[in-house]
Amino acid sequence: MFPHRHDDDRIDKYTGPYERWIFSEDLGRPFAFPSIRKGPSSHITALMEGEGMLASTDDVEIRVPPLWKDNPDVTPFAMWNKALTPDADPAQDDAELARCLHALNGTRYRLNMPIDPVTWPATYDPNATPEGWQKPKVKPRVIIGVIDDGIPFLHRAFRDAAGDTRINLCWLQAARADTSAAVPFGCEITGTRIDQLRTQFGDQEIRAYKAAHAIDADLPEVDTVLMHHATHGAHIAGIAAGNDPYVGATDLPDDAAVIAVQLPNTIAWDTSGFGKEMMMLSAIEYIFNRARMIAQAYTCPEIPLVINFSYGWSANRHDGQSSFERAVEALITDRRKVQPCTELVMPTGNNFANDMHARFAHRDVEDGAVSFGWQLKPDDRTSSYLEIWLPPDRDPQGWTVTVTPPAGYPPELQQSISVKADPLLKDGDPRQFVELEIGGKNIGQLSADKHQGNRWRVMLAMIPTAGNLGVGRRTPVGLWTVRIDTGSDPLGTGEHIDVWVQRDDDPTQLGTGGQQSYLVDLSHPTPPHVFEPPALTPVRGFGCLNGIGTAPSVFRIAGYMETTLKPSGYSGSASIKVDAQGGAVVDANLPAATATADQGWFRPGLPSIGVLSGSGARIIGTSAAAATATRLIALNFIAGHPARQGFTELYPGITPDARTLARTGPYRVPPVCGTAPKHPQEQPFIGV
Amino acid sequence: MAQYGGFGGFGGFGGFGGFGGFGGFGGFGGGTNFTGLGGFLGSEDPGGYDPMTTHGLQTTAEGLRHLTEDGTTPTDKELGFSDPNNLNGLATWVRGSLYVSEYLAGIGSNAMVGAGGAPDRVALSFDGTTFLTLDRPATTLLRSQCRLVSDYATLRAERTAEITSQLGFPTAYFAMMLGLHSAQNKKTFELITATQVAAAHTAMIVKNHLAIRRPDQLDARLMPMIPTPGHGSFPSAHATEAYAVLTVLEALVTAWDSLSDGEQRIKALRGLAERIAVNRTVAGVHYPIDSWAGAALGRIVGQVVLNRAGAGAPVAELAYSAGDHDFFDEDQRDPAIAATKGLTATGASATLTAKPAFSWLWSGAVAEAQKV
Repeated sequence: MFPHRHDDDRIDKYTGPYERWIFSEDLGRPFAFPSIRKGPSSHITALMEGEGMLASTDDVEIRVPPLWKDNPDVTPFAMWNKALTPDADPAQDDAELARCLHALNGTRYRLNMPIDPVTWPATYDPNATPEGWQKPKVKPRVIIGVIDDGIPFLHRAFRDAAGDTRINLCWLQAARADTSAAVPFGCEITGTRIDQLRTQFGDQEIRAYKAAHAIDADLPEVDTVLMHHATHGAHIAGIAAGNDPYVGATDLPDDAAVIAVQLPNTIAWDTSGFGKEMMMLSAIEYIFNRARMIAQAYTCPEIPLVINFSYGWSANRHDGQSSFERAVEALITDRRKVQPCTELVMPTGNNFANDMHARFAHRDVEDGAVSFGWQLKPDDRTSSYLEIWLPPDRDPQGWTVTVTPPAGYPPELQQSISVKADPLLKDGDPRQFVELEIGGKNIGQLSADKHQGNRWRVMLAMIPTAGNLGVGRRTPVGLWTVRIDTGSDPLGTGEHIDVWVQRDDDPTQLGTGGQQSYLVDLSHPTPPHVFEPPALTPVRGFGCLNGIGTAPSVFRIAGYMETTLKPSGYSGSASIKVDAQGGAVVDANLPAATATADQGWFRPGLPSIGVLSGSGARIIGTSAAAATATRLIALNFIAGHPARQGFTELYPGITPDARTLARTGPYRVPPVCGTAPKHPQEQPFIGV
Repeated sequence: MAQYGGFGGFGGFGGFGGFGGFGGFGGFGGGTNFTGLGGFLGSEDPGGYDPMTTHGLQTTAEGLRHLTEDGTTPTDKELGFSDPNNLNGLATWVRGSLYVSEYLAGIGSNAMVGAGGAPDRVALSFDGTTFLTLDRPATTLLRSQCRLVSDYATLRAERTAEITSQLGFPTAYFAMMLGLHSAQNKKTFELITATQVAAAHTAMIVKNHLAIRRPDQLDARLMPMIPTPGHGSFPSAHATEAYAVLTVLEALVTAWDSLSDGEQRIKALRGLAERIAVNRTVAGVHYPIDSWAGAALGRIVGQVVLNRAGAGAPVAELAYSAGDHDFFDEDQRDPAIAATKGLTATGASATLTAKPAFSWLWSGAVAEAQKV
């Protein structure tokens, strides 16, 4: 039973349904990722939406990371609630955070993940020059930004011809802090420090990473990731910015400088949608900020910049209007005004074939309603989330959403919510909450909120299906049914309802125990002939697209197989709508291009570097495809060409089929890995 | 005969044959995962030597017997009469036979046809006292449970290694939770095996009466990933064995009173018992209600084993009348929740008399306390 909260203690008044779920002990907190579950959250990250001034109070210290421009529309910040003691009651975490936000006087926030106090430097100066920093040896013609996990900044792939690093700065967001710093949390490794570590430890790279606190078993958000043979970050950084036989690409010149940001492990590995935007946006702002610092050191204008951010999740608005996407859009468009060579490359994602999206149009409505199934798997040890997005700017009259448990469970578990504001919930976005309970204990939260005041979302958050989690409650396994009843206010022609399931898989490094739920089309059974083109029935891969990569200016990369030139089976796709004449039309969120994700049926994925110099690894997915595009865009910028120079225009003079265009975009990026001519003096290359 | 001299080295292979016997002990540790009689099957039974060794032994006897002819037949070294101290000198399979005899001597089952719409029922008793009644589930309930079996099939890919290595007794999994080693925990392994054998026999008696078809025999869509077993579905013998072992090991860890992290290990053992039971639903050969019935039966078997060993609390009577529910350890463990799912404690309980072989085994296992 969710306890009653005073108006000013309501976390949802300042934030949204995810925060209410994640930070409430009686709802989803016991199943949140460890840094939240273990609490209390004395140091926490957040975004403030809307322009405003963030100021510290006696009880709360506020830190804003290095920004590219003051007072952005969306401001990432971190706060330290000094009043919170380590033995604070976790059941009060939501109310405590609400009180902190209340004191800040803003209008709307996204609360994000907590951070470890040892990563909080005693003093922070956002305008300081990083200690010991030196500008690159030569003025860079391009700066490549890489945001990822496990960045092997000592790797040989990032050294120039003289053996010095091309990585000018690397912000380890979750590493233990020095006493004073130019970053609000974590620590900043300069190129000078990287070269010093190299001199001190030689080829003993593991020892050097330990000395730099980049391997730190006492901090779960850093941990021993860099002791693994391979990391996602090593693989991506190697393709985007490295020179190594394992990548096998044409070398980047010495004046291709690199700025890297290593995200906390939870961000890279927890695949649900919650709590990461602040770290991600801080990383992009940081790279923009430090790129300008380098330009200023050479008293030159902004330098061409391409950032690779191979990350994402499934659910979200997908209309470019989430706070992270709006912030990213503003950064890119503003920087392009002073330096047109500015790109942010992101992958379309890997969920095309996973039944994680559905789109319902006018023609799918029967008796004023649409219904679909949501299959929750057994032994899921994490929360599962489903988001239903109504058409933009639509204020539905009398719509209800009803959730019915699998057959065999008590009918009182069925719950409905009206898509309208609860008049008792003051301030914040218009919203409404209904609890799903078994025996008086919560198993789910059904919410309706007018996200950012402009688009209604109905969200379903469910606790794990696994037993033995020590909390004495769980969600029944099986096929849940969701019915959206439009009553007397039907869906108009051209309008549609979008449904996304949040990503909930289980990367082995984190061992979350997640099990991916999926949608079931109750009206259209799976076609028996698997090689037929996928029908545009409501549950479809078209629209299974990176939920944080739909800002208009983001360079979205889908993936194809090098030997067939066909889309990789998993490669995320733009959404498609059917117009009044029955024709299919691709939405605005189509990929910018498609790039190699798989070398062939028997060589899936791409080769790149492992963590240690001399090691290699192969990873499958659109992440690596994005990195190949980043590398070629960087080379284009160096040569003074536009970003797409050398990319193949796929459909010159013709209008492609919507299903084809949605999966490829208008351009194909040529292969990168394994394309460089072999030099006879090279050491034998052992393929991976 | 001299021509065989050069082959004397094969005698060494005979020695390896002896190691083969230790391989049998490996079975206690989980190496072979036999079911039915488990590691007792032939354990420490020397059988016969290979023909060449037999021949060699005889030629050696002929050659050396003259050295012993001055001796006399001893008459003063008798073993104790009906003395448990003799048990240590028996082959393991012989002790296994004694455990089975002690356990089964008191068991009784009564199959009652339901009258006036009441379900058919089996009552299981020890020494004449009923400790468990199981109602026969209706076919409509079984059909409804097939839906859950289908839902669990999604886990087959990730549970394949567990499922196929748990076809027999999953002793290795219990050993992992307690850090058992066959050199240090010989009696503990023997206790686990004795409990599993008792549970398996008991489950077969009950299954035989209830005669419930397997899920794949009701629903063609379930297509199990392992062979359909040659006995009824309800109750699950795997659940019975797992919960019987769990019950005994919970008591043993308490008796050891030596593990600083005993509480966590018991939690892990409970999780394991649940997982072993659920894995059979994942595989497609058991309904969740089979696990409910098996867990209840296993708890009874475990308590009976403990009573026969002179340990443990009185055996508490249970009654199970299945409803359409999924199986979770925490549900069957909580009496209030269990009652809403059809498993009730009647309130009756009784203590059974201790038996010599089980008592000997228990005290040996208790003496193997790990000091952690």
